[in-house]
Amino acid sequence: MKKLVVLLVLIATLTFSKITVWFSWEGFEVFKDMVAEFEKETGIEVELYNVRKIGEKLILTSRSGFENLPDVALVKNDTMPFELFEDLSRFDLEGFDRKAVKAFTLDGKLYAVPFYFDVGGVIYYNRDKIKDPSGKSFEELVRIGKRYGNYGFLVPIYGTSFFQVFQATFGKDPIIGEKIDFLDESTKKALEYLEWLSKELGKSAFGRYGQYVTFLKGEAPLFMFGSFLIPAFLGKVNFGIAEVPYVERAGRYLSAYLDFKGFAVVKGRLNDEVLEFLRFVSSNSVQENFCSKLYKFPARSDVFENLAKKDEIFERLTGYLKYGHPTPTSKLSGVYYSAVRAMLKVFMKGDYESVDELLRLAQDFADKETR
Amino acid sequence: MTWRLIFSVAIALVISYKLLPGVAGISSVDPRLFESALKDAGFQNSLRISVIWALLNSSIIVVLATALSWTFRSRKKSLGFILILPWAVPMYLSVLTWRFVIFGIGGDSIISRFLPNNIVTDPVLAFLWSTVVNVWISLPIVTFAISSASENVSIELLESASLDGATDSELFLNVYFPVIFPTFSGWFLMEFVRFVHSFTVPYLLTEGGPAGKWGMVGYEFVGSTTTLGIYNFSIFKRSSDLDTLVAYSTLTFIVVALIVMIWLFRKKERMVLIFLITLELIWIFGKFSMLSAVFLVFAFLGIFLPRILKFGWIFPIVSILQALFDFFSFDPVMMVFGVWLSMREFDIGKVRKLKFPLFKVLGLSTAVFSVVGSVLVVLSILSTLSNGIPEPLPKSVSFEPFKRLFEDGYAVYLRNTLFLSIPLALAVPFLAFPVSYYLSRKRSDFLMTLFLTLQSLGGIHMLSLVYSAYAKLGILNDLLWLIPLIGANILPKVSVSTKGFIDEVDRSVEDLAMMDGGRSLAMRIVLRLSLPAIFVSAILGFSAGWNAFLAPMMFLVSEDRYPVSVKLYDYAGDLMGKYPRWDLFGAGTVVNLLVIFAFFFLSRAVFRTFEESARG
Repeated sequence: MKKLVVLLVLIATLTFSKITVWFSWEGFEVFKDMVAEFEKETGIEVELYNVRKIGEKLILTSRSGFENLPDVALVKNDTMPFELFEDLSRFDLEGFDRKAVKAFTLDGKLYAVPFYFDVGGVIYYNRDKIKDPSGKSFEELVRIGKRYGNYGFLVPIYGTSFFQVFQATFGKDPIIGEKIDFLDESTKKALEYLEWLSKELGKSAFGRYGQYVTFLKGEAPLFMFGSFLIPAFLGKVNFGIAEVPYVERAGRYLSAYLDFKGFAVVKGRLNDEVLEFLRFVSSNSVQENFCSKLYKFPARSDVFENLAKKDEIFERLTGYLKYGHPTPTSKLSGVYYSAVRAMLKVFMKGDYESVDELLRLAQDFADKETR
Repeated sequence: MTWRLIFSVAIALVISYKLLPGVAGISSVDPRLFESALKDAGFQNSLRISVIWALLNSSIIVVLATALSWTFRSRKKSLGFILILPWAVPMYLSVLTWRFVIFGIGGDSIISRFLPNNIVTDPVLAFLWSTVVNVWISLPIVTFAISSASENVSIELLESASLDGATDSELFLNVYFPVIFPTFSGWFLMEFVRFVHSFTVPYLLTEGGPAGKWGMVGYEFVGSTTTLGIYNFSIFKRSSDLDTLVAYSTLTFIVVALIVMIWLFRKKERMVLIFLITLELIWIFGKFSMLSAVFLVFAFLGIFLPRILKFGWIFPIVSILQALFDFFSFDPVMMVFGVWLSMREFDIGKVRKLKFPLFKVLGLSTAVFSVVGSVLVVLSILSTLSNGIPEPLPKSVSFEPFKRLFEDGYAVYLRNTLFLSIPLALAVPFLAFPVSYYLSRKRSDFLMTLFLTLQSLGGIHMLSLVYSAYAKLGILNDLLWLIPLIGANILPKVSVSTKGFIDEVDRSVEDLAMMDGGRSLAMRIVLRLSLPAIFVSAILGFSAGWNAFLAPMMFLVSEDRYPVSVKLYDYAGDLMGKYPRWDLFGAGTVVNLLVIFAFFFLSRAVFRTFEESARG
């Protein structure tokens, strides 16, 4: 009798094993189909949700108790609430890109299994308007853009996440250790460069959406933005991706940011089903299938090498990886972005005497929040 | 017994959600965090912005509403037509659509063709456009109130004075304005209190607005439209611990409560001065200045020597001058004092000597403004219904967005909305009736005052306090627990409006019933006779659930639990967001409005049936 009960419980456990997964950013439909395959293969039911602004939602949900959190969540390395997640150091990460693994490692703990990454700072060009500008410096691109007026070269000068692109290009990591520092020479040069860009390029379309639509309509020959837009442009605008430009004033190549996404497991939820799911999303086939359709960079190096061989766009993007830098993995990232956002708002308004003053304001703002 | 029980439950519900969270906040707040909130320059600046925002908006709205009701005094039906859209469309939908009208796609909009629209980098423009939208939305209710108050204006007197050669301006100032003045001043103060903690318009339109370097002095960024509500919301979104949230929300609760008290006791000088002194002490604790200290002494002396109050103008005047020279240097308490003083010292006799030859022009211009605004809103909704990227003006309207909308699971959001609306449609009349009956028959000034006070205390700060309580109880992210929250919010309003109807019920019928079967039978008779009003309260309950936005936006995190309001906001996204789905927003808005209008017309038909049956 006892054995029968145990057997029944076991069967029930196997039959009703279920995990909850929060997904975000692009590719929900593609991922949903893959998860359906996983369910068929393993018998594990996956309750999958597409959640916008996932970092914010995880924090808000955690306030109502951990039971309302999912088992697994797709997170970004720079804005994830680390305190909510399990240490996954024991997960087998052979074959994964080292930068990707490092991006989810903090204080010796691995907080997510890397899935893919996007690149912020890719130079798109409209083939119907200009020839491939590869090999030209960033300053030359600005000159080309100026020929086409205010909508010539769309650069997200006021975009919070793009500030780090210029900071890194001028040789500075956004956060070093556990310290945010805006008062160094590199950051100053980066802001001066943005000042120069804003004078040269003028205030064209405001905001990310405005710039995206302008390029999509074919009105702008050049556009600097994230690689995640590639699927949105395919078949709608005749575009290409230029090679990474050299920034003359910095004496370096443009350092795009690498925006990592990975699956994190909420504390207390690391069980066999979850591990099975993590193994599934880390498999070569899933990574290749998902990333090739959405032009994401797979976290597995070998998968990426395969894709780069097959596809011209991936091949072009390889250069951006070479000079790129990961977004900051730190508990202070939120403070950093908040200070940059505030600083750029003032910068946009033009209400400052000098770049030094603006950076001092950003530093004070960050220091206040850190305290 | 049952009626008493329902009455007690209703009162307990309102107090639990509208007062207790504030009291609990005061008793549980961490003193260190409270002190740091008081000294936060960001909080202080947002209070300054709130006071100016409230003063400007309430003044403009009551003046324009008066001009409109005066101009259309003999064509009241036209007023309904002019104001139908801003009145009927839920506020969050109006604001998001206005955002498309003003800012469009990255700044390319209908407005950008004629007027400056840079609400992203220009703080003044962000403030002005928010004011325009706020005025457009708030005009109907104040206009209807003033127009209704003007029923007491003697038409014969107006006509005979007109025949005697009185000018339009003279008629307005000598006959019309004195009659509507109590309503005018009451609404001015009520709107002032409401706007001090404004959120929906300035947030959904400008997200707190841009700023110069003054925006970076606090713990959170303060833009030109960052009112107290928005500042609290920033804390709500970013603060990792609930204690900080409670500290800021409690501080806002105290400030708002003191301003409400000043409004409530506006005719009792000493009481007002005591509340002003308390408010000034709080301000001085966070930001000391010699002028504030002098004002404090002056207010204190005013309690014993009321005659000196006539010299009090010096303080608001100095505040205005300070604000003009350096906006973030003035003491907002002095400005609040100025608002009270202006109502106290207002002399209709002096106004009569003035001449307003352009008042009718102002009324007509306001009507044009309201109609043009409505046309722009409709055009923008049509623009978003395109198959590709929306254009500022509609080029081709497609049905594809509707298909995509339902493929995106819109039916789930509609179902969730009904989950909120239907219980509220049933519960609100059930709970409101005994309260309305009590208000009507006992003529309880205390309860009436309490309801009015509680109604004015609400806002993001109060929701934040309820949120922290829900978080501790582990009942966040649950549609079910939003029902009592929304219900408590609407109950005072519904009770007061149903009371008006019960007042009209013939007391003799009730007295007879009382003799036959006691209070219970009498109430049942009144209930039967009040069926139309009860039906209206059911509609109000349903609408409260259907249009609920702030509470679901803050309390729900799982998308599968969103009502349509939150999902539509999700589609429109942030002002500078990556991918607004204007097509889905437009289609969802149309579906939502169709439901609202269908419900409205159906309700009218049912209301008539009830009215006839009640008469029978």
